[in-house]
Amino acid sequence: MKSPLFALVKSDFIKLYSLRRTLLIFLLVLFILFLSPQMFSAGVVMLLYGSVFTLLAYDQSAAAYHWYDSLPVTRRQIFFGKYLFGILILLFSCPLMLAICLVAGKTLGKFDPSFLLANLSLGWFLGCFFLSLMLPLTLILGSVKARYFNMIIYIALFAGLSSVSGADLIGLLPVIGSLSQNLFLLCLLVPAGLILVLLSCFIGSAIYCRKEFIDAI
Amino acid sequence: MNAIEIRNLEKKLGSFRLSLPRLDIPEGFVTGFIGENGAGKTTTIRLLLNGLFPDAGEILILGKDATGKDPSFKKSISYVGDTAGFLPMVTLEQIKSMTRPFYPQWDEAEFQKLRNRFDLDMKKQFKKLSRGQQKQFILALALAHHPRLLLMDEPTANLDPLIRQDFLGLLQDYITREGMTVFLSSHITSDLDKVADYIVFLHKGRLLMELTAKDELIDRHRIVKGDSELLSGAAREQLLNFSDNGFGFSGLTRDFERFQALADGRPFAYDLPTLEDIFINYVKGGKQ
Repeated sequence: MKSPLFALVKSDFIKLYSLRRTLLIFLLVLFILFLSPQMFSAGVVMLLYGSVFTLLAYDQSAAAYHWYDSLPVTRRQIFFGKYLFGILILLFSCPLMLAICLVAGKTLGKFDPSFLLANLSLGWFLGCFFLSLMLPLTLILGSVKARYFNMIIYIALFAGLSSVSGADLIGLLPVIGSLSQNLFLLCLLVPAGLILVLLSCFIGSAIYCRKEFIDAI
Repeated sequence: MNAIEIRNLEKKLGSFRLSLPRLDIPEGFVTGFIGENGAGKTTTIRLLLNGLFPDAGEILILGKDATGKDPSFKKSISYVGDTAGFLPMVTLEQIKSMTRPFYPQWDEAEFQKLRNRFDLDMKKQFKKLSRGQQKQFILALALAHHPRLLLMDEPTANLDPLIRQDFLGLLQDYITREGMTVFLSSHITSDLDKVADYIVFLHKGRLLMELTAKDELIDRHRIVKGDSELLSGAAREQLLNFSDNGFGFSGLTRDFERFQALADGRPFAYDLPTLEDIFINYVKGGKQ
């Protein structure tokens, strides 16, 4: 038998391919991104949401754990397989978004090439952050409950931001601008994102391995 | 050798408690696991698949610990349940591609043979199949890697009689040809009347009857019917359960000769019971 981890990831890609019609809506994201290349990071997160989390939601509605339970794989392998799938989607999303932004930038003259690395590393980091937070929540709690946590996180973020006055935010802009030109800091975001995902993966797998999926007696 | 060995298994799910002190399922036979809805059949099978974790006890499947971290025993088993867990829009070909890599002993020729037998269009989406065809496809997937043990949870639920007959017929072919062990949970006892070698009764999470050979079980019980006055004497004690409508009674006895002797020449009718008769009377009689 080939590695069960790769077989699990392959099965996720097959399932994703079968959802292609449902996922057409996410092409809209690419179109919007074409018009607003500065939304690079949001595009990466949207693609992750559209592929990884939509698939997880479909898995749960089909009670896919019946199939997973029957396979000769461990819970840990299933969990790691989902992370590997997420990382691969992220690795695919970043250059795709970049290509769109570049084409859009050249066509519409809206994209500043000096922000290329900043966008790429920030997109990667945000994607990793999103994966490390939402993947364990969705796998352990299910899509519906995970959405509530998602909402709480966004509300907390907005509440935090709104506590800072508009003048302060504007004052921060030059700092953010200079940060985006700091090559070292930008490069640091790549391993930082990876570490975040690895941490989330190992902590989440310990909980997921003890999780029981119950639908009937 | 036993295909499944369960010792002191305990599992609590909310207010429901499953308790199986000892259960051995012999290799090479069909064992019917009979119980009402909510008796704990699905819980037991999910414990066997390590999808639920026992609170206490041991489970050995084909000699290997089924509750441990090594899932390799699952390469030799297959599961056919009421819910398959496949995404509805995935095609049959895609499901096969997803499942096949996990089983080193996958036999493509065998799968194609079953596919042709069931006339399955592999380009169709899973949701476009009828309920019967879905079950046939799941069975083809399950048999294509020559499992030593087939776990089935209500496999014939919601199937029409023709499909059910074909399904059970195929199962019997495989058991005869490959010596496969089948552990089949069902509340449709007529299926088990046809295919089971051994029977286990489960009621409210407990064993109502331990593993018993089906023919022996049916053979030692009788449904007896007669005039209500027969119940006035000691013969009544020989009935596990009975219903009396004033004109006559109908009941189940597990000691027919004794009942006959106690009837003392008074006329009564008798017949061999079905598994359903036995199960219902055991549940209603509350006896083990």
